[in-house]
Amino acid sequence: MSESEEAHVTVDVTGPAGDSTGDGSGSGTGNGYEPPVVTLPAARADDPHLQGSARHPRRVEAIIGLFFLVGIAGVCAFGGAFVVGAGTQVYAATLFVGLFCLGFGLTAWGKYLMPQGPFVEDRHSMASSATERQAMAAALVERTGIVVKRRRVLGGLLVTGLGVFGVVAAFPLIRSLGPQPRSRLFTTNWKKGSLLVDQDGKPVHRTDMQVGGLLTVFPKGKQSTTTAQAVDQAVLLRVQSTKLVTMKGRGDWAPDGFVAYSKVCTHLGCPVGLYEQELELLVCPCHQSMFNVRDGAFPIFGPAPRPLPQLPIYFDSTGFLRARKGFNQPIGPGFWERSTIGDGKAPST
Amino acid sequence: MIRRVTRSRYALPAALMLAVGLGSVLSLASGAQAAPKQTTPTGSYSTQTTNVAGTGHHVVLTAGGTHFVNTKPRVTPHAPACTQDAQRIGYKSPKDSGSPQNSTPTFRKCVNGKVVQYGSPAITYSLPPSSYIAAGHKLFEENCSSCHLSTAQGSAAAPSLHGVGPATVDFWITTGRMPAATPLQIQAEQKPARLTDKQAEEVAAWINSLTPAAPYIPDVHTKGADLTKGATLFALNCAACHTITGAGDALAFGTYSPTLRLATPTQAAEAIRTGPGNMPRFTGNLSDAEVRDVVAYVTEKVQHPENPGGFGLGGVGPVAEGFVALLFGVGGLMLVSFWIGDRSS
Repeated sequence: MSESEEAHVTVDVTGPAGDSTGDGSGSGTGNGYEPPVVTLPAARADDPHLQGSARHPRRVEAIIGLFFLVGIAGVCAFGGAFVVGAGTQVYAATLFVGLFCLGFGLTAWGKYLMPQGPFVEDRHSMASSATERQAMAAALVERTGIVVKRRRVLGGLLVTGLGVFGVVAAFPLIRSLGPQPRSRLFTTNWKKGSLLVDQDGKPVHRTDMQVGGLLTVFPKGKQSTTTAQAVDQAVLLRVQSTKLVTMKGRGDWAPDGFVAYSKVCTHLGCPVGLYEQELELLVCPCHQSMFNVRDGAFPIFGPAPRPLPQLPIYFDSTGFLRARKGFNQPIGPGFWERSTIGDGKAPST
Repeated sequence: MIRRVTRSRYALPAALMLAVGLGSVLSLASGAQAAPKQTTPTGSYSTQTTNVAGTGHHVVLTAGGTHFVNTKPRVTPHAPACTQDAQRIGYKSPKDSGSPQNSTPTFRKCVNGKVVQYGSPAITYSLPPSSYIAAGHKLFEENCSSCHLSTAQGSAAAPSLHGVGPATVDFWITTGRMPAATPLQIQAEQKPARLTDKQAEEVAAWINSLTPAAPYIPDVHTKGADLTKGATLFALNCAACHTITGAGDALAFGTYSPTLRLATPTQAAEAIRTGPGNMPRFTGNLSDAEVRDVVAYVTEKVQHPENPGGFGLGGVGPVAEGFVALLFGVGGLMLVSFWIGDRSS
């Protein structure tokens, strides 16, 4: 397509028959615009461009008709199944068959039976002339300045409003990160004299568990709150029938072989409930950290970086298990304020 | 058209879907831990009955195992001697926790000062009759003594069986784990049982005669079980190792927790009370009623999952389902998209 050099718009069009129409004879100001005239050749029934791609159109039509019939049947079957209440699998099967066959038939119609063309239609040049573009740019700059610069106060207020909104919009974002836990990360509800109870609130007696047994325990009074279940959960094992010393300085922490560890994995916090009694391992199901029960739950495999905190327990005068104090370390995965060596004491805040 | 398809870009995705998809689906359907069906105590019952060690209990022997039918029992008058025996073989535990020590007199049956049956309304623990002992000795000599030695004292290849109790022996033999294929494995796998259920009880009777111990072989009365409570207990105690669908899972150092699909109620109760292998032992912390609830939940819900989608994919969880969705769903969509976009001539 060639472009006129003059200011007004001209069109030069070549139709499919090869003849050109239009000689750029619009008026001098460019107001009169003549739409391009395009002529297509007359349509003929045997035009190869109008035929579908199928070599045997009647056969293809029959097949597509069959698919449509099956699709109708499938959709009706879905309706019937729904009325009768036939069940999820029947709904899915009938709906799949119905919709798939209808869709397949429609797509095959479009691919194999519709006119495949190609049909070429020329069109006029899309871009404006160079002078037109320059004139437009000049007009924009000139007039915008006049319009906007008149209302300086309003413009300033609008910008201030949007800016303040942008700052304030960050507030819910920051608050939604949650309240600061501060020292709550360092303590649990286990205190001196806490009675060990199971999930139903039943206390644990020294005759309740044989060697090789396992029980999930909580401090009494806290076994049904979700926070306690997440934080205070401890796993009570009976490793042997005599006193068990897991580390130096923990001589009276595990009477009669009853030993209690925090159930919250020190890797990412999953409950460590898998106890293999012959291998004496506590296994975490999430990332397969393995803790050696005899050795103070020291991790011998897997991504856990620290042993499970141990709960020192004893038998009270009636033979029920109680805690001497809380866990020896903050439970669960590491966090920023926790010191990496020693017992992870709380900061002074 | 077929030539066109095989030479086109459909070939690779379609072949991949067929091969990988069919292969994994078939292997899941047959069970990842391929263990054949156990004989379960259903079907016709033969009416051969025997008197359990003279107590007046009638025992119905079937192809699937022994069922102790609660007919009118005779409580022997020698209660104090029976208490002594109960304390000797039992372990200390709260009432109704699989030990005869605290079973109430109405639930403890004695013959000649020895406890032959005890329990609670939920579970009845029974000792195999003493007539089984001789046959059990012969079976033990033939099948077990090569590793456990003739006196069942154990060797480097196998542990001692003194004081393990009839339930332990019955569990290991009826699930097919014993006789073990090789003693060098870290965990004996479940396989077709070499001995029948009656033979297992005979071996259990002989081993118990060496050193009597509890628990006896449990018979779980699942009628009236609370399935909701069973589900809660299962989720808290069992699902960590066996997974919530009971499909079993890998553990440490080549050990694994087996699938629960094949367990009979008796085997499940035996496993809970005795803690075989690496499984923890649940004694005083679960009462008989709670064990009955868990066993009923396992045999009714875990072994017959509802699977509203039509196919459970082995019950191994969302990874399998995502795999199917990606392979068949997205793969199928790819094939359809290729077909729609292809030039028609």
